[in-house]
Amino acid sequence: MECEGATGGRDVPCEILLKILVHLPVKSLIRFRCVGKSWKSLIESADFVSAHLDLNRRDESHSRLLLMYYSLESKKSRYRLYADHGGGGFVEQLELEFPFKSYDTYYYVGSCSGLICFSDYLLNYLRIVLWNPSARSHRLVPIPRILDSDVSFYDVLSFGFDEKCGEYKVLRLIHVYGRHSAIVGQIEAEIYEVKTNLWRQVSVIVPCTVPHCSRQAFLNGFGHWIGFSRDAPHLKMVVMSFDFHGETFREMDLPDGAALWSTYNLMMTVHRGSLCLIEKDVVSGLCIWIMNKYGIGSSWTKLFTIDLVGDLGRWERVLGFRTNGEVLMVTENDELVSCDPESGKISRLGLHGIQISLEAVQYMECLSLLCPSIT
Amino acid sequence: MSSKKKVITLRSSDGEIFEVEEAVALEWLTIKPLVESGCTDAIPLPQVTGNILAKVIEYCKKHIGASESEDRKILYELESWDADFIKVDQGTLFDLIRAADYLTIKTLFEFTCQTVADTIKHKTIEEVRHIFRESNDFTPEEEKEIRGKSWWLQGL
Repeated sequence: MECEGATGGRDVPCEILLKILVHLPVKSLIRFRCVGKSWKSLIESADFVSAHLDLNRRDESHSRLLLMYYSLESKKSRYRLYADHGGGGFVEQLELEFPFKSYDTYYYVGSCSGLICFSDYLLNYLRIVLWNPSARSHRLVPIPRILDSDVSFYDVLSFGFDEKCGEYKVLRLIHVYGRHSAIVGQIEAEIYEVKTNLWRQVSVIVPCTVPHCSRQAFLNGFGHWIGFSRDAPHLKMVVMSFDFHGETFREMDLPDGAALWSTYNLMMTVHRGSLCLIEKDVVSGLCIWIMNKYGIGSSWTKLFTIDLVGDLGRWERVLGFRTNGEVLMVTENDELVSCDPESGKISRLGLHGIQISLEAVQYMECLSLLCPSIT
Repeated sequence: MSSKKKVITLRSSDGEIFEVEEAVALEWLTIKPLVESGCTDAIPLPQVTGNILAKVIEYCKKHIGASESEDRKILYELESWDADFIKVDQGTLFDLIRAADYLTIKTLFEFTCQTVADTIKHKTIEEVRHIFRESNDFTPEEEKEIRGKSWWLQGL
């Protein structure tokens, strides 16, 4: 640790000072770098940043959501932080400014451990950025390897956190396709690490084809997508997981009873620490499935079903869950609502945004990316 | 097991003698091996004064068994007891942190560190410098630069 000697008149040793300061919010820590040189080097040290992150990750009382959406009224993307108090209170705390400019729009890749990853739609998703809204810090990821111009391909990006090494990673899956959009050859995997700020190729067999629209769900160090198994003789839809520490892939079964006819009607997410599948079925409505025992395909259980059409119109998308278990959804009229799955009661949250642009991200404080030299 | 609870004797830096139940002393990882070895002499604690040791024992006696309780009423009561317990001056608070660190009492250490953090959270840089007897060793230019980088804090 970069910390010299005793820290002043009270003789609080550096190790104890770390244990005290680690309980502070990011806002105070950024300010307190001015206290003195030893404080600045302590707060900016890799040890401190990771101790602070560990403590915040363990605290499950986090109840703030960052809502990101394109507003037609103001003709720009907006990033608003809300406090989500269990009993229904949903209060705006502040509006954040996104640090990057785009000619079109940034597409949300994923978020974990306080950082959010986006890629630029206009630049074929190759411009990837990381944003830490709590510390107002950010990073432009170096452009990944560019494929020959005569090759047709699409990328699937994923953002995750290697919990064992305390390392953020971006995974890129390159799907090369030939005639009739069939995937040709092996799917290549490349990884970007925040610590090294470099991309590297990973020699691992990717067992599934992941459609471009498939959304990632990040849980306990693993990324998850809905994909098509490449080994199966018939088209078989599965969950593909990626271990961000061991850098290996795995396939898991989807629920037996789900209507597996298109990836467009399925979405992976996380609900109270379990993998969750949201199935949109024209007949039965929105079905919420939970994988009770992680990795066990037979443990999928249908938690509840919500009618597709409510008083405020038809539900277009599910964004995720609130701390009180209610479901955040967007209506066909671009209105954000909260639905109590038990009673079916709908509450309006007073926010409108183009439904395909709306995202709700768990907001967690961390110091990552605060200094160029550290993560 | 004997019905009579075993008692451990401790001696503070200023020579005061304290008696605690074995179960309490076993939570103090620094002296745990001594207690387990069946030491019957008074265990010297040269880094902790009598008044601080008395506070530490008071806290641990209250917490033993109660922290793990799942009874909401007990936990709520413990929380308000803690709030009263920690109404001490700054010097005592830091002494408690040092004692908890020295004796390796995780619950007390975390609690006291959290308390200091809560106290300083909204304080100004100057107030924090005063509390920690920290002197400003930045040049005015350096300080201006660091403050400049966190301009956005002003709006919060």
